[in-house]
Amino acid sequence: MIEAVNVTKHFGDIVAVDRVTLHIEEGKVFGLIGTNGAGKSTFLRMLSGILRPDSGLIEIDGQSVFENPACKENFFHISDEAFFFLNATPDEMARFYETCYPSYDRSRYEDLMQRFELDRKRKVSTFSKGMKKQLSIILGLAANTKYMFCDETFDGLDPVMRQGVKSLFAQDMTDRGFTPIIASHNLRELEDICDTVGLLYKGGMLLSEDLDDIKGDIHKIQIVFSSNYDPSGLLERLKPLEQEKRGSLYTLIVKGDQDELKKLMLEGDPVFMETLPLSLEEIFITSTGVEGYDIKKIIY
Amino acid sequence: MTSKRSFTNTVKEDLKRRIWPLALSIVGFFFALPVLALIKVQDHISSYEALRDTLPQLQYSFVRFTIGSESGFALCGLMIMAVLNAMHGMKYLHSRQEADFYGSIPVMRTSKFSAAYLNGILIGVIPYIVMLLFAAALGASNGLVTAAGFLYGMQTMLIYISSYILIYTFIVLAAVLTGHGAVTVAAAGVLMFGLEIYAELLDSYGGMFFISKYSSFDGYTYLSPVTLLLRMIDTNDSININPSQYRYPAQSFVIVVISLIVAAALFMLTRLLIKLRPAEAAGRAMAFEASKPFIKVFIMIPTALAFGLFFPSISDSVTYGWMIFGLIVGIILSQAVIEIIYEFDFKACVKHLPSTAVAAVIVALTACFFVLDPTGYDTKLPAEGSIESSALYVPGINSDGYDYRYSYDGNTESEEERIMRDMRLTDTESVYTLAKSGTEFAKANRMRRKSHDAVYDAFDTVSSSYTEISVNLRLRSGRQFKRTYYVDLNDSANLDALRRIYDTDAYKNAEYYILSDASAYGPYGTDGIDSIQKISYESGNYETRDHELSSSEVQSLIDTVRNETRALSFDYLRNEAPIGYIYTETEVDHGSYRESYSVNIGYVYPSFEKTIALLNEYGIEAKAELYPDDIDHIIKVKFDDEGEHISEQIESGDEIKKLVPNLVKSNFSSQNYAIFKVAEDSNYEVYYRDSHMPSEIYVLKE
Repeated sequence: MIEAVNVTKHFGDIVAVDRVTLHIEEGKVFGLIGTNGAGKSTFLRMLSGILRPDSGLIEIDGQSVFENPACKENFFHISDEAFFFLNATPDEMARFYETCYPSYDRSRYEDLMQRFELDRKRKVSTFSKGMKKQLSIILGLAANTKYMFCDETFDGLDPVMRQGVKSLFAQDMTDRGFTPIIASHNLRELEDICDTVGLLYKGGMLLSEDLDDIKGDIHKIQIVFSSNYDPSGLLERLKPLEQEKRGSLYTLIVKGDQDELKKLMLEGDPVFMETLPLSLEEIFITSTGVEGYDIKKIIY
Repeated sequence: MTSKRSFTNTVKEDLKRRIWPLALSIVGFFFALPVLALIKVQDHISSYEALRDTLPQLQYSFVRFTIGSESGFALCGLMIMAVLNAMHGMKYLHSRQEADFYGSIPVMRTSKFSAAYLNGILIGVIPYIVMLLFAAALGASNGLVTAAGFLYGMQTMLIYISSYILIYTFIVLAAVLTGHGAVTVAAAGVLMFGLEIYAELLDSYGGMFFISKYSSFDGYTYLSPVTLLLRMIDTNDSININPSQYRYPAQSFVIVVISLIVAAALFMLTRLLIKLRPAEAAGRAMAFEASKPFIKVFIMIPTALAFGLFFPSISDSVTYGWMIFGLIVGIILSQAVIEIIYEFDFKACVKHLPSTAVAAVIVALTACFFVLDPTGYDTKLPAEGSIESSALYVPGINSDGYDYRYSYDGNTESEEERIMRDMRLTDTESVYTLAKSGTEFAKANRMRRKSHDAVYDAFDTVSSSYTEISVNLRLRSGRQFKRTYYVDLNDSANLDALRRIYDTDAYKNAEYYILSDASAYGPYGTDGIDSIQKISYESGNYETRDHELSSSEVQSLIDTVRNETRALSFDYLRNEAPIGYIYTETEVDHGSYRESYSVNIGYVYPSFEKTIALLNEYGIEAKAELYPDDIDHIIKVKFDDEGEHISEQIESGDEIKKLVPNLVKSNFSSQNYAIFKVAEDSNYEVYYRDSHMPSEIYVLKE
């Protein structure tokens, strides 16, 4: 388990991360989302022991991470701009990592390189941005660490490759309790992979919850009431987070238990009623809007 | 906290990333050592037959230029590699990508740093050693490197390597303190030369404001690793007179040990800083925010002081206005430049003014210290009763008494420093009289805002009645009070004091080398009197007469010169100049070669009757005086203000007889210029009856 308690980091006068408290459980995909400059990279760099927090505590499996090689053997950090040695080939990078990580799996590396059809003897400097990302992920998976910190790693991957990586992550999660922590500014990218998400805004953590909990508690309902029914009383009781009316069609986003909401709706004798799935984006827009944040400004 | 990775692995992995500096080092030293050695071998073989008799010189020249102290290519190579290896090895600290990479992998940052540091040394030093041995082997196989030569090469190697490590460590420290390559270069300059610049600046301020500033010729080279290295090589240069000197002075090896200790201490400090260094420093100017104001103040002070010195130095007088202007300009410029570099932003030039204020206050206090002299450096003397003994150095007495064997033995100490250290005068009252007079003079000139240089130029001349003296008052507390004063010898009190001092054995024993009983720098060196084969006597016009003497003859001559030198009196020196000087020539057989060197015995005055008689007895012609009957005519050459000369021939016997007692040999006339004055506007060319060429150039006593 990764635990961050009241972690703060300043860069000069700028507060990059402000009193962030976070628990990341094992075996789940954690998505760290936020705009550019929200503090995602800084937070991941602190998780990786690159940066020392000004205050607060970061522990991975109960061990302090900063200047602790034993702790660092448990994770692999993929930076937003991954570093490769000058003129190095993937094999040379793999050999280097092999000396660093005790559980490094060379056969896994070779297998993945083959599956991703990357040339092991070619200089990494001649790889495209996407190929470099793929290589980083392969090296990270071959390192066989419990955790992997991915900073904007899915940017630059094509949809097929992204899907491939996601399934690799899923396989490792099942096989060995692998825990990826993925930082991104793109909600759509994380939607179908994350189990838990944390939203950073201006260095502070706005929320951190299981995606299923968020999704189970918030619903998008489209409903047409019978013409002689006045829904104002019902709408007052529902307290929708968002409400839109086009002709006789109401679109409501409401919080609460789905069955109870349905029962309530039926009181209005609807001629049409449908519950639609919400995108992660919509969930955040509505849920953070309640907290007083204009999420559209935060995310876009 | 154990990692799979051992330190050896870390070193190995780091070395893999340093292939190109390693290749450069190997190729560079290959050309600087074995290839150069081959070229030199070829040169020497071609001149081998013609110079067979001087094989030792050939060997020495080869060793010196290829593996010895003048192997400049190797030295340049090492210095370039020191900069390159430090910058390349530490560049991971300056790149965010690399800092993140090394920060996230399971390797202690101190381990990564230590590996990079060690490799920087190995990459520079191992190829140098291998190529040096290769070059030495090439020389040895051609008969040009003897065992002594090889040892000399190894000694040079030790000196070069210790300097390499020290300079390299300084640059590494600079790289750790900064976050950007360009700033590292500047910081390395500050670290390596900062203290020396401070010392030199304060010395210069002392020289400008303190009329009685005593300057040691030693300099402050030991405060910078670069100048220290140059000094070590210079020291060696001064002893590279002949092939026997396949060695460095012992002090060089003390410096080697100290350099390595300092490098080790700096490494430990840097390793500690690595633990504290934030990774986010990569790309910034300075790694440690807290260090910024201190470094800024450290740089601002000497910059401002240098500007404060620059403007008044153009003037002869201490112009306070220009000094203040310079100080202000220095403060403003350094504030702007440092802040712009710190922030990489031109608009930052007026930021962080409190540290500027601190620097300005320190600069102002420093300037005030020199201007106001609150400690009385220029104006106060210790109480007469507190003086235990003293030394007095008068450059204008026995002015050319330097003994070359002394420097030949590898000492860098000047004649003045030796006298100031060794002379033990107990006539405190006389020395105090001179010092007091010098203090009064300094006070008066301070009031007139005269700079030290202006005073020196005005008063320290052959024709001036003022003369420069340096005193060392050794106090009973153990403190030494050293000052350089200007005293007026037209003042009878000063003249009498100097007379009393000169006429003591304590003064002469230290002033005249031949009378010194300090065996460490005795006049015969370590080879003994038996080794002296030849005595030379130079009587003027650089006319030299040599004679081979037996040891007992040499001993008699030296004893006689000693006795007659000891008998010289102050009043006699005020009326006479030397007529010649004696030096020895020594040849030492070292088996495969012979070496020769000269040692100055001393000047001969007309009063040295026994010395002159002995010289003549040994067949060396020496005359105590000019004999008018031998002179055919004298041509007086008078120089006017424009440098034009007017010649006048003097043929009359009466005129010649009248003139001759007042003529002294021009070559030796300034030997005691502080107390013996000559008319500088005319020369006298003396023609003997049997010669068409002037035998000597004389000048007239004043």
